[in-house]
Amino acid sequence: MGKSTGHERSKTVNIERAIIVLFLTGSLVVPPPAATSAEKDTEIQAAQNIGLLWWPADPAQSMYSFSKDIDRCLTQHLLKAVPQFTLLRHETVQDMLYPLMEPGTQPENEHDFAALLRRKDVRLRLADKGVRFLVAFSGSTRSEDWQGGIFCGGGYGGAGCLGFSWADKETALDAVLWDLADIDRPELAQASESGTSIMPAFLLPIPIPASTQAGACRELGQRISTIIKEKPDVQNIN
Amino acid sequence: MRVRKRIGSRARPRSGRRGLAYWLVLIQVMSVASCTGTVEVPDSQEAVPLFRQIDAKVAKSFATKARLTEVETALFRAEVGAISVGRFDQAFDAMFTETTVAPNWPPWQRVDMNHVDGIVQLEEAIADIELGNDAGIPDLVQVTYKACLYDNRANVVQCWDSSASQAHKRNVGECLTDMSVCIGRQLEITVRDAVARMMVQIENDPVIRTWASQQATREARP
Repeated sequence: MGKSTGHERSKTVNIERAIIVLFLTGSLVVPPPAATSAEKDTEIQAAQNIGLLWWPADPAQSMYSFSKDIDRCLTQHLLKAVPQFTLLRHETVQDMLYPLMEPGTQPENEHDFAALLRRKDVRLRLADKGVRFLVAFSGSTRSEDWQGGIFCGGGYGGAGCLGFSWADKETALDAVLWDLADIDRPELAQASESGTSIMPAFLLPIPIPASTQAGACRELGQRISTIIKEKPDVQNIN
Repeated sequence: MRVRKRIGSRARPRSGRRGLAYWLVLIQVMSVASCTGTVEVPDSQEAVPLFRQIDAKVAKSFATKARLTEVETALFRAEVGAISVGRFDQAFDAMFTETTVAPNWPPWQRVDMNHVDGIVQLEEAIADIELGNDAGIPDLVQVTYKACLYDNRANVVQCWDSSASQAHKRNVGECLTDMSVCIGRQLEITVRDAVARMMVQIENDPVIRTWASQQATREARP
């Protein structure tokens, strides 16, 4: 029982040698080196998420309904165009960056936005959530007054309207794409679409609104996805 | 008596107009009944708030005046104090390297607080809700906070105020099904914004950083 075989002895000697070699090379006492900035960049490049953020958020905007529509539409488009990425929607990114992206605390301009992205805690949080690109979008829809005319009238025999009205409408969207691997070079994308809402009236007025929002959003999504696809390291991701 | 009898009577045929009126009253009563209650607003969030931490050990305290703030309208009640306490509790945890809870009773001012560097207290939470309507008058929500940092001898180091407001013009029928949900979302946005403003203000305040470094120096002294 107490005697060890030759094979066991040689195994013990080998372990002792390995420990001595490790000790001499300093592996046992020296902690692993901290990640260099190049390694951190590699971590960011390996991240697979695109964050969408409505910025600058307009608190006066009716409960953010416009931004929610654009957020939803961009998410759908980008999911199809760059399927290798996962999309994080506005509310998720806003929560992730709380309290820095609320209406009263958000950066006022691109310079301040870049400064925010350079903050160590912000970069760590975004890297932790796997965010590689941040799309800060904004925009609005402008409607002109109704033109033309509709006349309505009624009597004992009945009532009805007759006429035709129209109104021009334009949706303009823009986005700044921040590549977290290269914060110094944000890329701009813009899209706009105009249309005419019409309202024919024959007995009853029937409004047919122009859907400029969907078109502009589709175009913006396409531009953003093109910029992302052109990144050399993204081309290798499948 | 006569009126009661007529309402209770089912055998007597009613005119179509009166029947419609009864239905409208019933629908109105039901919709008001469905609206009354407490507004549900989350009192915390998933992610830890981002903050350049202040190197100090503080006790968290929430003044009764702030804790019990409520707003009551004819349609609902909003426990703004409870929501704010939850949010600030999370915020204070993110702001300081170490936090504990200050005793409620006896008040921390009367207790030896030498085990902490200071006490951070939410002093006030003031909220105001003005209901609008579907005809273009917006719902207004306003929240104001006051918080102070005290040293462990109950001397004020610094106080901060923050305020946020939100005006929301309803879309037609948007708040018809449940008014409290509609206002709840607006209240959440406003509370989030006001707490965020306070946090950013504290983060950028040089007084608190100087105070924290003085505490560190005092502790390092033999």
